[in-house]
Formats: sequence, structure tokens, C-alpha cells
Amino acid sequence: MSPALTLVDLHVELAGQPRLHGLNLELRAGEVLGLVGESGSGKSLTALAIAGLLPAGARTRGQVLLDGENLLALPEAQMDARRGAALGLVFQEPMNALNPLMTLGEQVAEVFFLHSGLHRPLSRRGAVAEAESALARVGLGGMAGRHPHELSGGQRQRGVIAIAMALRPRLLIADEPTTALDVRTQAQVLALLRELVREQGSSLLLISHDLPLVAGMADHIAVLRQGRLVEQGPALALLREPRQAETAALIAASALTPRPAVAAVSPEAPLLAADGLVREYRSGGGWWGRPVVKRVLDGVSLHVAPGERVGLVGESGCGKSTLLRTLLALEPLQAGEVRLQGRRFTGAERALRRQLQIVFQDPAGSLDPRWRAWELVAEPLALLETVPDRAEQRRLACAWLARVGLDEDAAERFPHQFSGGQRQRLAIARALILQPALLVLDEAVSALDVSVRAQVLALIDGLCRERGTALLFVTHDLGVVRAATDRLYVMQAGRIVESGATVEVFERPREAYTKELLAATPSLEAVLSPR
Amino acid sequence: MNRRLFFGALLAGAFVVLALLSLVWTPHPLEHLAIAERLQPPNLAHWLGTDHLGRDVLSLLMRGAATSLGVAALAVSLGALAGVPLGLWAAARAGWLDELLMRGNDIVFAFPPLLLAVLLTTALGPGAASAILAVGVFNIPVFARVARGLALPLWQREFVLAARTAGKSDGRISREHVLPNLAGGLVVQLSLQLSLALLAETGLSYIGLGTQPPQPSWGRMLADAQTLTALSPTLALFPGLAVALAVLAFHLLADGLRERLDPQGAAR
Repeated sequence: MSPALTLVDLHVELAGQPRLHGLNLELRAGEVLGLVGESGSGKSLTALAIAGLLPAGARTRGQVLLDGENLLALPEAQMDARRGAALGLVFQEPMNALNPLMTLGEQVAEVFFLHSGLHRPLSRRGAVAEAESALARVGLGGMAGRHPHELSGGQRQRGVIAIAMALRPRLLIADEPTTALDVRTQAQVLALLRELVREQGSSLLLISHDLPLVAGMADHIAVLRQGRLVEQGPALALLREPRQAETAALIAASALTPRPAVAAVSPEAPLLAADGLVREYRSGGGWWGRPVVKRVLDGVSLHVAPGERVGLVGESGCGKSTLLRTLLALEPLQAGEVRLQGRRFTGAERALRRQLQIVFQDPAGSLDPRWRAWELVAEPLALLETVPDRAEQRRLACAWLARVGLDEDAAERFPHQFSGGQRQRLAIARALILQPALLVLDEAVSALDVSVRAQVLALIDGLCRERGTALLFVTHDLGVVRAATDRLYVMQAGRIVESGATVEVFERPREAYTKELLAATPSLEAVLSPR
Repeated sequence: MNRRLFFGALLAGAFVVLALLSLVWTPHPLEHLAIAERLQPPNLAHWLGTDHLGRDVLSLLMRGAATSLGVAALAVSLGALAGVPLGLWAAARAGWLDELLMRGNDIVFAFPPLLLAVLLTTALGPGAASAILAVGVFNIPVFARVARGLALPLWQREFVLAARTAGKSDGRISREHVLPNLAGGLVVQLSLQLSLALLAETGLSYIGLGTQPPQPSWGRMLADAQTLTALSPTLALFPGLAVALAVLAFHLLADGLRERLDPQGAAR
């Protein structure tokens, strides 16, 4: 088959900084090419360069050949005509890609209308009819009259795909199309993309940081690193026998080793015991009216034994974060109680608070941008009965900076002067400086690149093993749970629906919901194991 | 540095320097009355002319700047020092206290500020202190609202949650985490309020409720010049220009600071 898209020695410079260094890629008609790499590798830049959407001031060299035509040489007006008609685009955040003031149908119809000259003359009514059928193709039949806010995340992304595929372009570029979605929705959207591409004979350039996801979708895979192509080849061959060390490292970091099963810890004297937690949010109603009550936690009970590693998984909106906040007494409860070391914890007990610390998801957001690294790490020392003086606080903080693998001159720096992984190390040092009995990790590795994720998980493992610190991993990522926990709770819509030893739940899930989650999670193992 | 910030800072700085200079030196002594030299147009000895009592207009303007800027600065400080803690308090304690403070704010907002300032100064007797108090009181809800508005999203940020898990009190979190992170927004508001307070002070002294003679003030000068416009049109021109330029300066400064401190603006 002839190549649909060819990149020849593509260079991109942003603000004088070279970001892509001579990229050569080939995507054949009707195929899926997966472009993987960590943040900063130039994946998205490649997509923008192909679509001619680079920010002002960017400079390009080389060729982007779509069906033999060099897009880089086209004037903007002609490029406009190509976008939508010859190449479709799907980006990560569907909410940002849709106009909140227009209905879905209008937005799809707009594509037909704008390109009607190219295609065939089309009336507004004709465009609307076309839009209906385009929406029906992505499973959104009858939704044309809805506005974006009336749709779920997955529906929105289907809408974006409907727009991108409306004119049946030869090439579809999808940049992290499912990163903002839950696993089950992700599986549906990926299936839709696969189907549309096959049906219409288009080519798909699928860009993602998630190697297992790409592995399940792509015919060919290209690995990028720091603006250079590391390796390109047929998907299975590349995954089974990577030729480059960088590819091998990426594969190794993507496939987290499942944690070996350990004997169950007796739950007689739990460290943390939550019993029948209920949390409701009230909204609306004003001063006198009847407020709308939304029950986010509906009688949640869980326990963590000393030294145990427990996972809590669920999709976004299931109440995981609320549960965490109530466990940490950051939010009030309407019913139920939290007991720590056998005593009731309401937030006022400083001795108990010392035993319970947390690492948040976003290392940038969880560190005050105006504080120095050592001050951030030392902050929980305020919980001690006798708070050490500043010099002592600094000494303790620096010792912990060293333990999480940050060097000495890190102490005086501000959060923005660290990388994402380093920031999460800071957050871990802060959570452990009081040597708590239980460390809670709220999606603590979800925002990190896979190689950094592996390092941070190893760091947490090592530090917590030393002191027998118990861990509560809260995440949507089943791979992480499997690699890091002994026991597992599955949460759905404010309730715990399944719990048990991690190995058990993974191998013999009881609930339909758990089965769905497991089936929807992309896995390298599944791709590589001969079927 | 953007252009607005540059010109705003330059102009505002010039006013402040002139005002401070007037406290130790003016081109002509202010007490010097020379009826013979009254109502002169601008000339070499008196760059901006003389008023109906033969006083040097430039000297009066300089000392007037000290009065007007001083009153405005003190009034805004009063508003900020009372308003910001109130706003922080309301943000930290969501619920009935927040509701109470903000509805209290609404009540103050509901009155036309200048009208109530007139009432207040009438009750307290005219003078600089009354003007400061009157203008200051109306700045309190402005700062309370801005501080609360900026603080509320910060309370949802994870670093504040982290501080709470470190057992810190709401007051301490407000002081150590919230206040430093909203300082930028407050500086912008300070500059904007300064220009409004300046205008309010001029208005009050124009109707005779602000600074009292013989202390010169821009409002007073405008009022005096009003009856003499036919004889000496420049007399009203210069104080009017001074007010307009000073207000413009602080507005530009506020705009420039906003652009400077807005991370998205910086990227542009």
C-alpha cells in the first residue's frame, strides 16, 4: 500500500529552541500508527506540525507529505481547506474542543457547510441532515440538539470524533484522545475509532503516552524521545524485540510487575477503620427553598491493618476523593465514623493526625508555589507537641530531601524549579517527615511519566517498608494497584462494590462492574500473549 | 515591562516625588500672599501662574498633591487593612459567617459612596481625618470582596489541603498560604482603589468637606478657580489636569500590574 502520510526530515523550532530534530515517519493508508513517548518527547508537536497548527513563531523544515502533497508548503487558505476534509483532528480535552454555546448538531453541520464548496454545494438544511447521520455513525443518533454540557465526557469525545470524521478524511490524528476519560469509556471510544478507521479506509495517527493502549490499537508503533525518533516498526515485533534500549526501558516501565501475593494480615486491630461513612452535598434552594441533596458516599466501610497495602479503585466521580477527604477529616460526615488506632478521629486529635498523611495527585498543585522546598517538607512538623526551632526543622527537612533522592541544593529552591517527578518526591518527603503509620496516596503517580512512575513507586515501597508504614493507594489505574497493593476495594457510585486480596480480585472478579473495569484496561500482557 | 506599567509607574512616581518634595520645598512659599501679583497667567517666575491671592499655582499643586495622595493612601490602607482580613476570614469559614460578612458588604455597597461620605463628613465635621475615614470605610467591602474572591479557589487547592493535614489552623493557613498567593491581585486592586480614592478626596474637598484651608488641596483649588474662569481660565485647567493625570497614572499602573501578574498575559 502507498503511504498516506510521510514525514521527511521534519524539524520544528519553537522560540528559537529546536524541538523536533529531523523526524522521518511513514503511515500507510488504512493503517494505525501509534506514536508514543514521554512528556516533552515532541508527540503533540508532531501532530500540530502535520495539521499546520503550530504556535506563532514556530519554524519548520522538512516535508509533511499527505497523499504526496507537501502540507508545509501550502498557504494557510489551502491548509484550511485540507483540515477537516483531508485530515481530521481529535485532541485530549473534549470540553475544550467543543463550543459550549452551540449544539452538537450545529457543530457537526458547520464542518459540512464550511467545506461544502469542495464537496458539493450544500444548503444549511442539507448540512444538518448530514450532521445527523455523522452523529449516528458515532453512536450519538438523536443527540444533535444537545449542548456539550448536557453530554458525558465520553459522549463529548464521540462528538469531537464525529466532527473530525464527518467528511471521511484520509487521515485522522488523535492526540491523547482518551486520556481524560475513564477506562470503560476509553475502551468504547477506542473501539469506535478502530471501527471508523476500518470502515472508511482512513489512516489513524494515534498519539499517546500510554504504551499498553497504543499496543492494543496500532499496526505500527513509533517511539519518540526528546524530539528524535528512537525506533519504528510493526507493533508486535517492536514490543517483543525492541532494538533500542530506550524502547525496552519504556516497555519495562509500562508493564508494572504484579506484586506477589502475601498472607492476609489479620484485621483484628485495624490501624484505620471507617464505618458506614455518609457524605452528602447540598446545593441550590437558596435560604428557604429545599436544597438538592447529592449523596456522594453512601455508607462506605473499609479498614487498613498496620503495615498493610490497600488499594481503592474506581472511576472518576465514584467518590474516591471525597472518601479520602473524609478519612483525613478535611470534610465533615453526615453519618459514620473514622477510627485511627482504635480511637475516633474527627480532625482535632493532633496525635492521631500525625499518624495519617497524604500525597496528592498533582505535585504542582499540592506544593505552595511561594514556599521553598525545605519549608514545604517541614510543614507537618507543626503537628508535633513541641515544634522544633527553624534550624532544626531545616535539618530534618534536608535529611528527608536526601532520603527521597534530592540533592542538598534542592532545599532552597521553589517548586517550579523541579521536574514533575522531583516535585512528587518533595510531596512524599513532606508526607513521611512525621513518620506516619498510614500514608494515603491520592492518584499520586497518575500524572507522572511511566519511567518516573516506576521510580516513585519504588521509592514509596522502600521508604514504607523500612518503617512498616501502611499504604492506601487511591487510583483509577489498575496496573498500579496490582503492582503495589495486597488488598483491594472497588468503588462505584459512592459504594464499595467489591473487596478482597488484590490477586484474587484480578484473577477471579465477582462483580460485573469489576469484570468490566478489568476487561477495559489496556494491558501489554494481553497484547503480547499469543492468542 | 509592558508599556502601561511603564508609563503608569513613571507618572505615579512623578506625582509622589513632587508631593514629597513639596513637604520640604516649593518654588514659592505657600504662605506668601501677594495681592499685587494675583491672577497672573503662566510666566517665567510663576510657571503655572498665580491664583486670586497671588499664590504660586505650581507650589499649591505640589502641596495639594501631598494632601490628596496622602488622604487617598491612608484611606485605601484603612480599607485594605480592615477589608483583607475580613475577606480572608469569610473565605476560610464558609457558611453563615461568610454569608453574614458578605451580606454586610452588600449593604455598604448599596449606598452611593460619595453621598454617604458627604453624610459622614458632615456628621464628623469636615477635615482630612473625616475624609480619610469616609473614603476608607467604603474601601473595606471592596477589599473584603476581592480578598474573598481570590481566596476561595485557593482553599480548594491541594497545597492548602496539605497544610490542613499538617494540622494548621485556618488563620495560620490564611496567613502563610492564602495571603501570599493573592498578594498580586491585591496590589492591582490597591492601585485601582488609590485612583478612585483620589477622585473621592478631590470631590469631598471640592464641596468643602475635605481638607480645610489654608491647607491646599486640588479639590479646593478647583472650587476657588470656578468663579474666576472668565478672568483666568488656566486657574481651573491645571488642578483639573493634575487630577485627571493622577487618576490616569494609577489606573495605568493597575492595568499594567494586572497584565504583568497574569500568567497568561506574560505568555503573550
